[in-house]
Parts: sequence; structure tokens; C-alpha cells
Amino acid sequence: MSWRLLARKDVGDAIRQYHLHAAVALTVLLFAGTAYVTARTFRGEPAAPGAVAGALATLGTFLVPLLAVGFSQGVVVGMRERGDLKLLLGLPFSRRDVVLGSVAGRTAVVWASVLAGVLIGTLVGLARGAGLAVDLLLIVTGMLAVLGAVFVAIAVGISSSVSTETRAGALAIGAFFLFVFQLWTQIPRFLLWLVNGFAAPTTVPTWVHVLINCNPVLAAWNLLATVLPGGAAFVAEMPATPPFYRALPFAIAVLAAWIVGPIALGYRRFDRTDL
Amino acid sequence: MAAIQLDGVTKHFGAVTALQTLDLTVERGEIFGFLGPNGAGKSTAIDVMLDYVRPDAGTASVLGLDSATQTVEIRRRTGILPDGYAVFPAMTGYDHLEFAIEAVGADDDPDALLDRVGLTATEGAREAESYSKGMAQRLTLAVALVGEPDLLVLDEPTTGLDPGGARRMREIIEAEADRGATVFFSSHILAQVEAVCDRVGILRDGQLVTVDTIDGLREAAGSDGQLRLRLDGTAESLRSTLPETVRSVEGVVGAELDGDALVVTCEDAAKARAVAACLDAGATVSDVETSRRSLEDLFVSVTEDGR
Repeated sequence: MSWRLLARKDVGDAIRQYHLHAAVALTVLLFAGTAYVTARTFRGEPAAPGAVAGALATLGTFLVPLLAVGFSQGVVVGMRERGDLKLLLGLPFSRRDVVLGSVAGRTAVVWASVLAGVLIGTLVGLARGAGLAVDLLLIVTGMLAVLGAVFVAIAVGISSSVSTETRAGALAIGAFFLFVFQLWTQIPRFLLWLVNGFAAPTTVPTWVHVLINCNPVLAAWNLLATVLPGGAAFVAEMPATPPFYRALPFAIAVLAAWIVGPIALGYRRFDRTDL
Repeated sequence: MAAIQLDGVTKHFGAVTALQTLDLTVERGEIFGFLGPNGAGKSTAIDVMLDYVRPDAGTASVLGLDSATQTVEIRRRTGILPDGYAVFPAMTGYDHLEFAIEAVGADDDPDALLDRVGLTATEGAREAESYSKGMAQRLTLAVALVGEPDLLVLDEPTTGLDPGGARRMREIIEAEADRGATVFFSSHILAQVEAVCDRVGILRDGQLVTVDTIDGLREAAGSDGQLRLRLDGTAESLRSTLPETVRSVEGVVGAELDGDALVVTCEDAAKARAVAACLDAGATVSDVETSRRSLEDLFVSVTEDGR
């Protein structure tokens, strides 16, 4: 269980290098600002309960993956390029400890940012007179935490797979745009167009929907839409009996796969490489 | 059980062959010097032992443990001063030692470790990234010493050290060996190896060219020595005949004029006879310098022959 010591060192690194401070400050600032603006309607009346939670969820869907990717993409490859990985592996750690410790440490940093952001955002919303929707806030926090873990896993997986920080950075930014800006959606659409003989089909087959919903960001929103009580105003209404690719089990499976898959693949490549 | 055992280890990096079916055995408790010119494959061999690098063929074991599968246990019982390392960013010297002590599960005193490698408490409280190369080398050695390792693997340990630091390094190596640890260190500087090692292995182009004790190497270098006789005041005509005269002396391998000196290569035992032959011939010998063929000559000849 030496990965725990490495996770602790990783969090310590984030503190010593002021990464934690920067991540928390950025999240708190943006969440507080969003809460301030959304806590009242245009006419200056207190907004409906859940308005703040919804705005934080929308903002967090961009910000949390950005933080996770930004603070994680260099973690393993950076140690490798600088050379402190050699010093680290001179101590009783395995390469697996390095990957798992980095994932755990960076996830902790992102989670701390999410918690601080939601907490301060809620306080700001309350101060501005917005209604408090504790259940919504908890669910949104959970969703953002899962999303953070997914993007940390993707970024650390990338960081473990490549040999230069430049490549890790490029791939991580690519992954961010692919999922957060929904470029992913275009892939199955393009495939469909291809298999349909370079023409748009009249009906969209199920496999296209399945692939589209394999985007972890979409899965997180599907999760949110299913879990939120009575369908909160800020998420698209979930049908009473959603298709399986939008239902809870599928969303959970997709999110779990995007955590386990990148870590496993990254570790596999990292384990076989010469340092 | 050997401290280090390499069997047929081969490693290529692209088109470059770093190690070619390398066999090497280092016994427990010995100080083993791993010599070779730059690029001979010394660091790669060390990297294979510690599983930083995976060999294309062959196996490595350290302290009886398999390098590829029992890596963590090897690292627990081995202190490593690697090549091409960097210190941990934003961590002080103390942070490094406390982290290493916790990782190894030891109970060393960080202050004692710092003192041992010649770093002050003030230096230990500084961020290690601000250290000079020599200070970083000392700190990394201190990290390697954590937990009284059974084996110390030191890759070019004196790089960046001042003469005082190099001497301290040697004293630590000897002290660790006295404690019962095996010490394996690589160097391209023969004098360091000669001073402390029980045995020496010389690597060239990824292959072990020779493994022997220092005395054995000296013997292999031959007992041939050199004599330099200054011939001030010896007539020119006599001088020119001296090389031939001396060459006929038993045990003399060669003799040549070098300015106003005669340089004689011969067995140690023939030195006196060579001087006597010159005097008998009527030469005036104003000074005699004698030297033995150094290990350095041997090292250079072994590593560069056939290039």
C-alpha cells in the first residue's frame, strides 16, 4: 500500500508548489461569482431554490475537467523528464504505486477545490437570499467529484504513457476538448455518415446513441438527470423510462470505465517502458 | 547467494547495443568497482538491476531477488545513487530524508544522516532544488544510506564532489562495507576504484572485458617498469650507442633516447642491471627516475584496444 505514501507526497507537492492554492482559489472565485450572479433573478428577486446548484453544475462541467487535466497531465511524465522519478524508484515503490499515488493525490486536490467552491458558492448564494437546496447541492458536488476523478484518471493515464511533457500536454488538452466540447459526438455521427454511403440517414441507429453517450461528460449529466429529484430545471428532462444508454447503470458503467480504463492503459505502457 | 547476478543480459536502444550478453557476479560483502569509459553501458547495467530498464534478453537478480518481479523488495534493501536523477521539487533536504525514512520503514535520524554526508542543518532546511550538484549528490547519498541497506549501488558517486566530498564518499563506502554491506559502484575514474575496491570489473562496449582483484589487475598489467636515466655530460657518441647496449641486458624490453635521457622499459628486477650497464659503458648518469606501469595504462589499453 505504498501508493498511499506517494499520494500523500503528491498532495504535499501540490501544497508546496502552491498548485492546491491556485486550484482552490480559481474554483472558489468562479463558483462564488456564479452564485452571486444567479442567486437573484433579473428583477432582483431571490432565485428559485436550485438555481445556484444548477449554475454551479454547468460551470463545474467545464471548470472541473479543466482543473483536473491542467494539474494532472504533467505529474508522471514530469517526474520522468526531470529525473526525480529515478530517485523515487530508488525507494521501495513500484511503478504501479507511482501511477495510483498520482491519481489519488491529484484527485484529492481536485476534490478539495470542488468542495471549497461549492461551499463558498452556497454561502454567497445564501447571503444574496437564494433558497438553499441541500439535496441538489450534494448531488451536484458528487457529480463534479466523479467528473474530476474521471479527468484526473485520463490525464494521469496520458502522463504515464508518453515520454515528454509536451506530448502529455497536447493529448490532455485534446481529451478535454473532445469530451467537454462534445467533439466526441461527431465521431459516431461521422461513422454513421460513412457506413451510410456518405449520406445522412433518415433514422439514427441505436449504436450511434450508445457511442455518443459514452462521453463521460454526457454520462455525468445523464446521471444527474436521473438522480435529481423531479428533474431540476437546469437539466434536460429525463424520460420516465429512458433508453438504456441514458439510464443510470449505463452512465455509472461509462464513468467507471473512464476512470479504470485510462489508469490501466497508462500503467500498462508505463510498466513496459525504459525510464 | 550473490549480491548481484547478471546472466546474459542484453539491451539495445534502437540501433545501439548498450549491453551484450553481460554476465556479472558480485559477492556479498565486497566492494566492487564497475569501470568503463563513458558510454560503455555501466548505467544501463545498473538500470537493469533496479528495473528502471527492461533487458531484451537475460536475467538479473539482486540479493537473490529477481529484478523484474521482486523490484520493491530489492529497492527496500538497496540504497541507490542513480545516474541522471533530480531531487524532489520544492522539498528540503530534511523533507527528502523524512520521506525516505518513512518509505523504507526505517528509524534513522535525519540530522545524523546529513552530518554523515557533510551537509549542515541549515543546508538541510533549504530546498534541495537550490543545491549545487555536489550538495545534491551528498543528499542523495544520505537518502541511499537510509535503513542500513544490504547493498549500495552508486552510479558515478563522486560526480560533482569536491576533493573533500570525494574522500568522505570513500570513507562512507568503506564504513558501509565494514558494517557488512555490499557496495557496487561505477566510475570512469580509476584512482577512486583502485583506492577502495576489492574487485574490479571493466566494461567495454557492453561487455565485461575483465574482472579481477586490484592486485590481480596489477599483475596482469605486468611488472614492467620504466627507468629514466639522465645522461648529462655523457659524450654524444657514447649516448647513441647506449640504447643498444642496454637492450642486450637480460630482462630489458626496450631502451630509447629521449632528449638527454635514456628511457628503459624492463622488469623491476632488471633495473639495477640496466643502470650498471650504462655505467660500465662509461656513461655519466646524473639522475635515475623509476616508475611502474600504472593501472591507468592497463585501463586505457583494455578499454581502447581494438577500437
